[in-house]
Amino acid sequence: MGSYLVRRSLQMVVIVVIISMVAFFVIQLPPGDFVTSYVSSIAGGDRITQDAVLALRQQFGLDQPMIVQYWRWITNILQGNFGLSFQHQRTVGDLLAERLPLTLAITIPTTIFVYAVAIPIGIYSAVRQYSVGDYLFTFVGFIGLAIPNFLLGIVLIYVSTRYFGGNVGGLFSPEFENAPWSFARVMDVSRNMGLAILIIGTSGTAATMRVMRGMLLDELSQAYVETARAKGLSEWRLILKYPVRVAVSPVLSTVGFTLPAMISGTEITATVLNLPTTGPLLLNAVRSQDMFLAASIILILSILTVIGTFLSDLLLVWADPRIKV
Amino acid sequence: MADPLLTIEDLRTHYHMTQGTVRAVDGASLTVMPGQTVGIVGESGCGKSVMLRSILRIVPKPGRIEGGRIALRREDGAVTDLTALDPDGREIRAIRGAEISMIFQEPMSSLSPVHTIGNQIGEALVLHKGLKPREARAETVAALEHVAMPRADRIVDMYPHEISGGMRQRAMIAMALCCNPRLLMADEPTTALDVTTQAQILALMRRLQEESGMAILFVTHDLGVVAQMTEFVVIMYLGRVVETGPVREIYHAPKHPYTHALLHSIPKLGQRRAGARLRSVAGGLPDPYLRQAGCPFAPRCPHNDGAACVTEAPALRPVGNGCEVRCHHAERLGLAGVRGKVPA
Ligand SMILES: Nc1ncnc2c1ncn2[C@@H]1O[C@H](COP(=O)(O)OP(=O)(O)OP(=O)(O)O)[C@@H](O)[C@H]1O
Ligand SMILES: [Mg+2]
Repeated sequence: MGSYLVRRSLQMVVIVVIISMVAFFVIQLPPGDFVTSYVSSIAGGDRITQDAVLALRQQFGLDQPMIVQYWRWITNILQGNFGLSFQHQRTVGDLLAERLPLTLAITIPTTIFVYAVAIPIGIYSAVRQYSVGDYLFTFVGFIGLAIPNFLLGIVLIYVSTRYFGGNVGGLFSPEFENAPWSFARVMDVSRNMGLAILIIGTSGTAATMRVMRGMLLDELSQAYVETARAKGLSEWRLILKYPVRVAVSPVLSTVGFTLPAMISGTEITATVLNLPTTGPLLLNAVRSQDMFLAASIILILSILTVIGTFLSDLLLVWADPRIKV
Repeated sequence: MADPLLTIEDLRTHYHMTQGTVRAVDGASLTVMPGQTVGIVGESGCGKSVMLRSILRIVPKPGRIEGGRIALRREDGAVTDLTALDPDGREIRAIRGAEISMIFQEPMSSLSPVHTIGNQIGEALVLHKGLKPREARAETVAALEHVAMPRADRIVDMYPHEISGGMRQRAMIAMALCCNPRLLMADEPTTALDVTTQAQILALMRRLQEESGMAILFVTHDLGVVAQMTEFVVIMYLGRVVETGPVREIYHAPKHPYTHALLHSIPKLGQRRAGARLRSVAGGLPDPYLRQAGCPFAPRCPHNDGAACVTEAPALRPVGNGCEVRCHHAERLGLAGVRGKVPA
């Protein structure tokens, strides 16, 4: 086990380094750089001299070869300095400190929501295969999978503003935006967050439910289930103890991948819902070639992914005694 | 004569599928006396496993018991008709694993891969004997030692994949016997094992039976094993019992042409491999969805008379020496038995 942990840790470091390079270079692939897009955005009236452009480039270090830029960026990060966001004129560290906690505050409950809803439904659907309930959940599940989350967001915003006079989008309703913390404000945040979780979690719930159902169906016909039945256990008790236990561990172990997937996979939904998370921040950064910001977000996401995968593997090893490390 | 422990009368268990109905068990009858070992023999698909599952009421959907009676004599002498119980009910669950236990063919897949041996055996003790988990552990080790499991105190904490097939089957037997059942049903318990292990497991089962006096219903393809293990044999064909009798009678003087064919399809001594299936009897099994009039074996029977055999289904009837046969011509055929193959 010890050597496995060391081996995996080294692997993780190598992967993160490679991803950091890819992130840094790929961000700069589009023609031009931040200065070009900056200049074109303000070039309306005043003419900007070639000298001024050069000065700007020099100021940001964009005149150096790519390798040098990367080296400077990554060594700074190791010292806790993520660089400057050109677009926001603030340090990337500041921006992340603002957005990441909120992102996690939405992502983690969403993940819990997805599993807490999908696993029981998956179990029910498998045990009562071809029942009315199973058909119903299958139908709802396919709809949940087929509708893009952001579309669901738009529909919910429409419905709630049109019929309930409520306001969806953002974490705070306007009247609470700048209000001090109070019970009403907490309620308001929870309500908005609940909607966000529902919208972001729908497709994940639908998918997980199907996976759980399929896995459990495979297990239900196994001989050990019959052994347990012949032992005299009651039906639900034996189902929960044996086949569910076998089927659920691979499903649960995907929890590691869902975390980054929800952070990076929800840009559009978060933009539609106007959520102050990292998704929209990344989208804008890429569009305006705000390279330090974009590369830093990608780097952090990839670190989360790698750690998540590692945790998933550990979870599987722990859950299934047949897996040797 | 003592009262029978288990009496099955005209049991019918059918699978209703969109393609039609499979009559997996179609009017089977048999009797098991306390402490007796009864062998059930028949080709693959003749309904042996479905019959055992019917007794425990664990026939999976879309299977259903359509008729008949399964009478179990309880410890207090009362008789319970198992077919009348709710298959999910408390009453049948108190019988499963406590009064009637079952061991299955595949020792690998019959145990949960993610629970320890001790957990899976101890569970039965907690369930039926009301032990506390800590007491159950000690009992489990004792149960494992009872089936001659080497290093029982270590095996108890191991997972099925960590031990050999023979040891897994020992663990299954320990699990089945830990609550002292009065009837053990073994569905081809040694088919998946090599010859040496098979012999050990069979010897173990015989020893345990002598010690406990339980009855055994032993399903197998292997007529050699039947001769070794059982006193009484039930031959099944297409969901029905076609011949029953004491082992020696069946071997030395079979009355049903199907039994005769089975006996003479045993590979010669020395060619027998562990788990070798019966060399098939001439002709194939008919379409399971079809049932024609007359004797079910008639299409494959060399003694088919073309009259009564194809128009009238024979009944199971006594023919002396403790035998019963389902054949119109049983007394007239004078079929040859096998000599010297039945161990004394
Ligand atoms: N789940 C099921 N669905 C449909 N038919 C089934 C099912 N289980 C068993 N049967 C049918 O019931 C019949 C008897 O099956 P069973 O398993 O009892 O045979 P068996 O005598 O135990 O054979 P084997 O020696 O191969 O174990 C077979 O014809 C089979 O097709
Ligand atoms: Mg079988």
